[in-house]
Amino acid sequence: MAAEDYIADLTPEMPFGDAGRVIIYSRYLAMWRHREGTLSGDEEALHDMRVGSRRLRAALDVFASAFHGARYREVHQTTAQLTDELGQVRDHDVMLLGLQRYRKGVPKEERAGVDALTTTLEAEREIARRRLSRFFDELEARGYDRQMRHLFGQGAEELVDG
Amino acid sequence: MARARTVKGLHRKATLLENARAIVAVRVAEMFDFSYAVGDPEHLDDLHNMRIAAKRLRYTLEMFRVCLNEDGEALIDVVKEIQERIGAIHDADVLLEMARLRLAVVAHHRTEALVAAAGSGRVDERLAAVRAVFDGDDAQRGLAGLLARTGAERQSNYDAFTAWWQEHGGDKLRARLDASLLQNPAAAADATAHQEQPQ
Repeated sequence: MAAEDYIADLTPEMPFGDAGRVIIYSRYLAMWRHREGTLSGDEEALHDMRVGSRRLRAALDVFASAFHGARYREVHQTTAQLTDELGQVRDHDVMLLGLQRYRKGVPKEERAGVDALTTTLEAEREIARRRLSRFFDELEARGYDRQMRHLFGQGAEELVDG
Repeated sequence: MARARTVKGLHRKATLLENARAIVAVRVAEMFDFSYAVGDPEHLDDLHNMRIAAKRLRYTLEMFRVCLNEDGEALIDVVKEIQERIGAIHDADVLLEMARLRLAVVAHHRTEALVAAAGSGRVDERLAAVRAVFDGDDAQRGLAGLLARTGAERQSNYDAFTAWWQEHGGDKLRARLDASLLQNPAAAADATAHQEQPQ
């Protein structure tokens, strides 16, 4: 089990609502720590942030029935959008890496075709990267980080139903 | 893409284990509802949906790891394998579609170039221009090669997953998943005391 996957302070007998807060906040922190690397263009950080956002989204899906306030719905929706935006870039990174490896193994006369596809994918990835960068600005404007800490961080128990 | 089903009957004051039982049951059902598509090329969309459902189930099992019995870790690995095997097929499908589109664009450009080459000058000049187009960079060859190799690998992965599912999936896997949670509070307390911690 990876360290990021481990959730401390969780027991099978704790109330579902309390467990939800612990799980969501743990998943959130595990994702958010890759933000700086992602913004700086680190492909591995982006991959980790995408996986983290999927785990967070899965947790938010599961606990939607326990925390049904407008603010919960808002961060749930924003997280889903973030997952999609990260995915757009990551999917292109994966395809480009695959094509790079493939190109090394094919005869020289076939490389022009691989290069043509690579050029298309690189242009698409650039568009996706710009969209992601704009989305991070939007997260800042929406106060996403502050909201997540406010709703699920330490001492936030009375706020989760908001 | 199949949306996550809402799990009904959850209670905020109930224990994590009690609610986890209901949630895991729904996520298991989601994945198996699409499993009819395994080995049926007519239902690729639902094979893709099965991958999404497997991913959702995997994250749910990981999230409720503390509530799983001794088979839990092995089950997480099996569900991850399902997700990755179908993922490889899906990735190939996406790449094949992109390569087909690119091939169509390249073919169109080449047709335009050939028509232009054949359209002006003396006959020997026209024929030389046509030959020059054929002798130029041939992206079509590379894209067709990519289609051939990726298509063959994809078919191999598809057949391998179908065989894998026959051996490791189906009813036996469902029974294990349905029984994956701890049975009672005493077992839960014991599991908490012995919970694995990351290195």
